[in-house]
Amino acid sequence: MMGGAVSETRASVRFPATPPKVRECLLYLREWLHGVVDDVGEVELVLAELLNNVAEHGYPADTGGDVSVTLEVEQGSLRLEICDQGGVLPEFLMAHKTLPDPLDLPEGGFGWPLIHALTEDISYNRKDGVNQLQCRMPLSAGPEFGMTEPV
Amino acid sequence: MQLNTQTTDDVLIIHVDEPRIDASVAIQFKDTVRGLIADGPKQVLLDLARVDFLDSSGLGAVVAVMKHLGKDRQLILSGLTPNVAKVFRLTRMDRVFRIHDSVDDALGAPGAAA
Repeated sequence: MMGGAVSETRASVRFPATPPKVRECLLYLREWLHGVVDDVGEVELVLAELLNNVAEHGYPADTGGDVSVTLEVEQGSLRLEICDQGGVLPEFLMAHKTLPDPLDLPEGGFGWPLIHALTEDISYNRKDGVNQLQCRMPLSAGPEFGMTEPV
Repeated sequence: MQLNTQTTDDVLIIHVDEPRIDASVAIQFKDTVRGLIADGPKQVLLDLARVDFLDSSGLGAVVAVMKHLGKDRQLILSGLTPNVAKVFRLTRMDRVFRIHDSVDDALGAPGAAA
C-alpha cells in the first residue's frame, strides 16, 4: 500500500521508480484527483507518461531509485511536479512535440508529444543531482487548455 | 494477464479482462496476444470494453499486435472506453485502426464476419 501526504489542495507521494509502482501511485492519487479535476483520466495519462519516463530511462536498469510526485492546486490550475535523482533528462527528448506519423505504425515516440498536448508551462531544472520537472493542467474540462477566449 | 478468447464466424475475438494496459504489463500483453493469434482466423477483434486506462506503452503494444498480424490479416478494435479512445484520438492512431463501438457492432459491420 502506497502512502503519501494529502490535503485538500495538495497531494504528494514518493516511491521507487518502477512501472508496477507507477501504476500503484496512479491508483493511489486517483481518489484525490476525483475531488479536484474534471478529467482525471487526462491527468493520469500525463503522470503515467512522465513517471514511466523516469522508471524506464531515469535510473540504470531496474535499480528503481525514488521518484516523488507533487500535485497542487495553484492559481486555478493543477501544478504537477516530478523529482528524481536519476540521469540528466536530455533536452532534445523533452522538446519532442511532434507525433509520429500514424501511417508508419509507430510503437513508440508518443510520450512527450502527449505530455505537450495536454499540459502547459513545462519546465525542467537540474540542481544538486536532482531532476525537477514541472507543468500545469486545467482543473475543469472545457476548451483546449490555453485556448480559452478572452472575457 | 487476463485475456479470454472466442471464435465466431471466422473472427477471433480477444476480450481483454484487464483494467489497465500500461507500462507494467505492455510487454506481457504483446507477447500473450501474439501467442493467441499465432494461427487462426484472418480477422482478430480486440475487445477493450473493460480497459479503462491505456498509456503510450499500451498503445505501442496494440500497434505491435497489428503489425504482427501482417498484411493479410486484420486487427479490429471495439469497446473503447473514453480514456482509451482519447489516447487513440490524441495520437491520431484512430486513423489507422478499424474501431467499433462494441463487439456486436463489429461483427455486424459489413465485411467483418463474412
